[in-house]
Amino acid sequence: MPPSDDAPSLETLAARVAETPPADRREPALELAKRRLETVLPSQSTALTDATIDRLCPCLDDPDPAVRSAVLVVLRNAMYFQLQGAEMALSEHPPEALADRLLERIDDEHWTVRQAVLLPRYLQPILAATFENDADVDVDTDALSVSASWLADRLFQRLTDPVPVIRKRTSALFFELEDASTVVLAHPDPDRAVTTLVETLTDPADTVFNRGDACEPRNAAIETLLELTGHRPELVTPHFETMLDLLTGDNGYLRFRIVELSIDLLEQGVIGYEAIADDVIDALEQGCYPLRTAETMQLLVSVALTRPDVIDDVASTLRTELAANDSRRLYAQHTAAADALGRLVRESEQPFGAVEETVAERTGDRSLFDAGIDPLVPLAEDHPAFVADALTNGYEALREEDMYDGRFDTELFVSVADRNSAAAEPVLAALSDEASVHNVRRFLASVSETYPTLVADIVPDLLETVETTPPIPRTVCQIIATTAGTGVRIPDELVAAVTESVGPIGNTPAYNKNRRYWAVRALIALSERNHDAVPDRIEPFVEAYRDGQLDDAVDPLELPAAREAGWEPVADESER
Amino acid sequence: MSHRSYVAAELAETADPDPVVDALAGDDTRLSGADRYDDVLTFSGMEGPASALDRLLTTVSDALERAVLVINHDGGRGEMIGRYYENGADGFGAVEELRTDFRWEPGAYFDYFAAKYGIHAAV
Repeated sequence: MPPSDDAPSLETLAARVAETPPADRREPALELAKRRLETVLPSQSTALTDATIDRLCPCLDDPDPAVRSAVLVVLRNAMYFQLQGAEMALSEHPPEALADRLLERIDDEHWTVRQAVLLPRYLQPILAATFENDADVDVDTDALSVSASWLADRLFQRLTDPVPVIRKRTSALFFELEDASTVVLAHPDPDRAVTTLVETLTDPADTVFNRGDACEPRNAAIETLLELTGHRPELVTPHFETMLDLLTGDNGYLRFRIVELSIDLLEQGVIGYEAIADDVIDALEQGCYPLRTAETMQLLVSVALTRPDVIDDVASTLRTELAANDSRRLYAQHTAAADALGRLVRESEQPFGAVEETVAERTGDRSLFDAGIDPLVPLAEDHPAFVADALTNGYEALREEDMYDGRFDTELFVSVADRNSAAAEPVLAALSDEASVHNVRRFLASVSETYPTLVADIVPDLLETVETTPPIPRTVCQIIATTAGTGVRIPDELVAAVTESVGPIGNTPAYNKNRRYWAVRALIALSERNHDAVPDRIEPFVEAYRDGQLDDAVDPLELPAAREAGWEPVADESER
Repeated sequence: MSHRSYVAAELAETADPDPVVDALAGDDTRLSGADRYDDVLTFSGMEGPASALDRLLTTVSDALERAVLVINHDGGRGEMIGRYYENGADGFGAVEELRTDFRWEPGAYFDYFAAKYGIHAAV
């Protein structure tokens, strides 16, 4: 529990540490650290005077690592207050003096002490001032007795510390810098620093924490290498081959970032395609080449153009990607694949299939990209079977996923159907088996608003999956309403169930008003087709609809005409 | 109220880590992990409050020698609680607790327990 008011003050506890002989110092030092940690905020009663800070500083050299750690926990906090310029802080010492003392312990022989020095919150301002001249940080680097070069060297040592959490904290500090390559450039031996970074790419230390607290060393390393490539590529190139080995490693993010680094080196003219071709092709053949962005796909094409033996593989990879069912990716991803494939076809001498040729024609300019058009849409005109396969595969996701909001949505389907209904029809036929799945019904209902005739073809299959116990689901009523005009025959039993679904029905949950609306719309549509089973009392709704009084924001049972015709209102407010 | 929690669990000699990982970072919890160093498994996630983590640790206490839990609670200024556990003569239980009545650096508590008990940190 936080200390009570009558507990000894921080000053008293600190004095006790300084006065206790080294052999017995551990207990008071830990008590002081605990008090510090439980009352972190600065206030008159908890800040340390300069005199006390000066008395504690020698304990940073105490033979007992527990004392060194405990006192460090207290003094790093005092430095933090000095840096904050906390008004309540008693100390008038410049923060640089304490920073010097704390940094002396950065390579302490005991891990607990090193760990305490490396807590990012406290060390970060010093690094920002040292390596980035951050004007927001109130640290005068001229007043520090350690140089940027010394500090860079120590940070790289901690990046290879045997204790993982120290490596993670050091990595978080690298991450916190705007551009961590400044640490490499400050290092007394930048090449050794780069070697360390490249070795860190295979550091197994894993973390799921926020980057501010601790982060994965390999991620800090690749970020730093990317930044360094931008400024001083010649420092990276000697290690480039080692990095390329990771293109077939099991970390997808690293593979992607290494390809990005390669692209940067290529664009700067520091390397040629021959330097990466073998590794890129190995990754492609092992199915782990990162097709994440337009740039990584274009690199693949550039490599293929220098290596005709892999053109077929690259073309088929890109063709698969442009049609891929991957809900995590945006259409732009697939447009990028089409664009890359088009360029490969245009710039290569070799013959391709009909789909590839069309892709090449349609991507000659950047019109697909600029208009945000999914590549499957223009392909529907000439290659309906190819597009139908891709869509059938894509809409499979509707069957399995609770919430689907990926590439394969109503808009894509309708756009394809607009171009060529032959590319769309087989997709719905394939979905009819799964018409009992809510997401599938919702999709069909949505499509039926634009293309009732397409959906009408599968309504008989759909109806076989519908239980005729009211309430009939909203999506089913909606499909009946929108497709009724095509003359689909709806069984009398189902019409009766839809009529009952106008409700109110027992204590069915309140998803309600909209379901009642679509039940009424279905009945209106069926009555327009003179369906025998539609009761006469639907008449007031037909009139209301005709007069524009009924829309999906209105609860049909609340219409005055409905009351007069004998429809019962919804009694319970919660039913609405 | 949401929570951000961090656990360092030190395995008992010859204990199998798999059941500990399953209990702390399985489908029923909002913790992820484990990264391992020496005999210490580390976890973090949105699991909480402290009492819930207490119970989780207790379910695998036979496999644990020691543990540290640090949790930040949201809400208002928040609150940070840290506990050090040992499997002692009276069984497994919290030996020492730290508490700050606002959100703060979880690493700071781990540093204290590292200094006092020599147990590795999760963050």
